[in-house]
Amino acid sequence: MIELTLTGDAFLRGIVIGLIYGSVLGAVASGLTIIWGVMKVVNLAHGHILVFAAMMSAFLYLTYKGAVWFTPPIAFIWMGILGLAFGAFFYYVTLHPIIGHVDTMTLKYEMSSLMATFGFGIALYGIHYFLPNIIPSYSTEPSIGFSIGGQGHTYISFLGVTIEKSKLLMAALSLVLVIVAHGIMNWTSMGLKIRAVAQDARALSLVGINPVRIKLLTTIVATAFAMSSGVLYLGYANSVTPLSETIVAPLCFVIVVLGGLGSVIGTYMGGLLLGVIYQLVLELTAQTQQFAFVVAFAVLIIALVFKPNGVFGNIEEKLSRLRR
Amino acid sequence: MNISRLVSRKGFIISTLLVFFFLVLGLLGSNGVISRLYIANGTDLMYFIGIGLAMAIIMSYTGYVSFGHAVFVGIGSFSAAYILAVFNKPRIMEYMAQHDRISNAMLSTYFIESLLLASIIALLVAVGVGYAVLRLRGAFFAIATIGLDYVVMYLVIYITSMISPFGGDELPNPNMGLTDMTFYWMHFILFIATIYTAYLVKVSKFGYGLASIREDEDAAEVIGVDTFRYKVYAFALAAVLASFWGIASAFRKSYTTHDFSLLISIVMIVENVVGGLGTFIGPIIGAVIYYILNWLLITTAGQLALVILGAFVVVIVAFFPEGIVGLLRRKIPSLREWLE
Repeated sequence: MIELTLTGDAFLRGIVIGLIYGSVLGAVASGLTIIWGVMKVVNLAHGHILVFAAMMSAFLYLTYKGAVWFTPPIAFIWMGILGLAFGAFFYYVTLHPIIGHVDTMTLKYEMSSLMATFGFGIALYGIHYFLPNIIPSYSTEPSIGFSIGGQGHTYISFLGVTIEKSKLLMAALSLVLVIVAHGIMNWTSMGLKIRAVAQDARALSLVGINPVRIKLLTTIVATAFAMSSGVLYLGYANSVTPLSETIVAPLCFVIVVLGGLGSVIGTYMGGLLLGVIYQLVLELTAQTQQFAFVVAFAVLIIALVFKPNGVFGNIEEKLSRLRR
Repeated sequence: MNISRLVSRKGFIISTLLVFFFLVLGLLGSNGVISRLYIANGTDLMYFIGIGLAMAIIMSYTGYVSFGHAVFVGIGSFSAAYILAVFNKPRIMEYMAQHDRISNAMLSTYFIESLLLASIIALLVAVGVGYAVLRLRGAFFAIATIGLDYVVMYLVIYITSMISPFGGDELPNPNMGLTDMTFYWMHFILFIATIYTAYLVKVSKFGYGLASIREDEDAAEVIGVDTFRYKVYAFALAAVLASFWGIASAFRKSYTTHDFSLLISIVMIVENVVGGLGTFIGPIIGAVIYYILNWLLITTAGQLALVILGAFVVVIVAFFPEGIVGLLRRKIPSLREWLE
């Protein structure tokens, strides 16, 4: 049965590693919160896109062994740029026939976009098993030491907890990504338009802005975030398989719901909270990852039933009130 | 409801024709007229139609997409494995030492025991979880059910690892010397149960209530449909039917945890979407199309099968949102009463 190891050491380790893991998770979910929370497209392909980017960077890193161009900070930018193109492809292939007109999202469109992204996700998942037929060196289970400069792992000790430096770097990069996402959504006119299209697309078209173009832009931005955060996930977990999707995607949904739909900072806080819960369960109960996963979903169901607006639902309002 | 009106409807005729078709196929197979390949195909087809119809009650009739419905298939197969491999294993082993096949009496006892156990667990889980998550609408419900699938799957793996001598996550059934004809008739019984239940739900007052929830839940509530209770009933019924098919697959494949796989939920959803939401014939046609397409793709395209399947779903959702049956109903009005 479950034995608890309630030592201060395990507690501290759970919190420190949990914060790092949670930071990565928060960044990983930020693409989803933009496309789902703001544009009301339940992107079930989010996890698949993310894992696709992670698989691609792992493959490139292993093929061009040690090349500086595919180490985390640079692959992070590469994948973001690639994500812009991939997002446009994703939009035109999957979402444009459904939401590509001047209309506010209703439940019906929401469900059909959910099904369409679901189909896109299956297709993207299948590609990993097809690629080895074309590229013989493509492996569906790459195991890599994806670290700074390709020099293997170096460790750092912090409060008695030993952490890989590359994981700390991933946490820092995820903070950058979240700030960029928050900035785009809140400090630019594009973010304003994205939020407007979710509220009333018709009114937006009356003031001379094309809502379809904004939907395209949102999908592109969200996909770019998803793909660059795939590199973060790879850097944190150090290995990736197409099946990683079954771990990342559900956690992303939990975090977005916890954080409150549409708020990037709230999502990041949700990520931190979930990461700490996840790692604490792992450290204190000495159970498998699957057990921590069950706890994470118990948190989701409780949150959905009791706080459907998310735990950090109106954090942005509170922040702006503080500023005034 | 008037029995004669019920029987004369086209949906009833189609389901009876299907049952008759599988009956003839089974009789031909047991007399050795047709080869075992057809029997295996028939068994698979019944399984796919069965899980499609089980899902249809919550997804197609009510409009709630349950992404974790495979959990109930898994519960069914887990209960069957529990009955066979934990409760009755010594008895089966003892009997098998003297005979080359377990007796029909034993088989039907275990089958009925599994049905009862699976229904009870599926009902408890469905009602318990349904009370919490059926308050959510649309996407939130879908995501909560994905979570449900993982939670129950890992819990079952956890329990199995404690009782299984292998310490792994699978419970193999003991060898019972059954032939594929036995499995065929087992599937056939469940097929009759599922297809008539799904049909009766569709044409009853309950089914009209579900349809009103699918079309507009607020309006349904205003005209006096007890929406929440209807949804819980529909979810529970869909759960019990799905768990029956888990039992069938556990007896046939003799392994359990594969049935929790998200892939089975995907199959169920694809069948319903391809066939057409809101219809009784839709999931059946969807299952037949899925089955044929799956065969063709696996034999001709190999690893591309999943890619093509995904693209197929995208095309159907984007361009024919009402599915194949809906498209036929719109284009050929004379077929409407057959495709209800």
